[in-house]
Amino acid sequence: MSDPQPAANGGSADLLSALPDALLHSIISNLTSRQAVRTSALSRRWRELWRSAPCIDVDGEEPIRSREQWDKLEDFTTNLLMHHIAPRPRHEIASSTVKILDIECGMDLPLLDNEPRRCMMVMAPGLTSLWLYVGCSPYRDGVLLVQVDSLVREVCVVADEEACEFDAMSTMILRELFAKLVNVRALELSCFAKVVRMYVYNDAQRLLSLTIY
Amino acid sequence: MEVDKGKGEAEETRKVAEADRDTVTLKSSDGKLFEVSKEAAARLSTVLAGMIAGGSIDDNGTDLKQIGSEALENVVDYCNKHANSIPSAALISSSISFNTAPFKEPEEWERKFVDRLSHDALFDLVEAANFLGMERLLDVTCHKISEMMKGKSPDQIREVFNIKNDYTKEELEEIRQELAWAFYDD
Repeated sequence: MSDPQPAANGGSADLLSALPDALLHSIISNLTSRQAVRTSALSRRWRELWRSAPCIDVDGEEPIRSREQWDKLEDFTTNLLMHHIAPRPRHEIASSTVKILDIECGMDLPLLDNEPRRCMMVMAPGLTSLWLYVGCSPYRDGVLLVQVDSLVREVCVVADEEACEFDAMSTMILRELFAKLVNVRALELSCFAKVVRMYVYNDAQRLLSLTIY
Repeated sequence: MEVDKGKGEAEETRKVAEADRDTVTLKSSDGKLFEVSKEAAARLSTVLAGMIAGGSIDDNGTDLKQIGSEALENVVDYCNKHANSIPSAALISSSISFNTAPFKEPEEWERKFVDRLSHDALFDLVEAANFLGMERLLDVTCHKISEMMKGKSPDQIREVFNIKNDYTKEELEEIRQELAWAFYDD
């Protein structure tokens, strides 16, 4: 196409920002989540885009070596999940290096809207341990764990409210599941092809339904 | 009018195509004609699939007024290359699929295909792929754009893509404060 403008990196027009939101979301989703958040500094057009990008990659940009680095990542992840406003029910965390994910959604953090949301985690091949504290948080509607087909041995879900459901499916390589469910109302497990042993601790005796298939 | 054959098209396919009309002819905004395998077009583009199924394909060249000849040539080239490539296991849909299935990494040839494009040609191709509903090509081109952004600071990204910083100094500072948890190393 004929573009009369001189070429600096192929033209002086901002072709990127002119793309529709859906495509920019797709582009942002391929970045590490930290860089995705930082696109908000580019221009007004970009300010809120990352918040609704459909995929979050919390992969550490560098391997975690110290407690300090871990604390930063944890703080980052917590903030990310709190400020991200993807349409429910998709919060996806694609991670290959994070070993333990400990997400705390405390009572003191404000709700961004009144829409209950589910936290959904997919594709975390390096995850060995998952701790979720689901308080009076955006995820009060429950937690959905999908395809964490990896080394996850330990899943701990703590909910302060009754209205919490925990689903896990397609956890193909999971061999042992240690689920500590506090105040979780319903537990649904499916496609646990290789699970040999499963321990479910239900401290508060509030589990109303347990489905396994 | 001259008909540009897709570069990757094998000789046999061409003969069959001419006999049975296994191809569709597409016309760019500037009137150039391109021929593409009907099967590949229908498989890779939801819009072309709809036009083929609905019989709205013109043998003398289906008008695609929104797409320039350079972008259309790339689209046709991509379709023909795709038709000739053996799909890897990654491209064959896995047993577990949900609508949020993450993007499958580009194949080696797809990488090369987008790497050789100029800045403007890349964005023209993104628009063409978007217009034609070519999900895979969109993924591949968007992935390329992400690669161009990776590891760069906001300043560097603005430079590469000519993004105008329309924030005031105060606004930018406010954003960095608000999102300090993501800007911690700066």
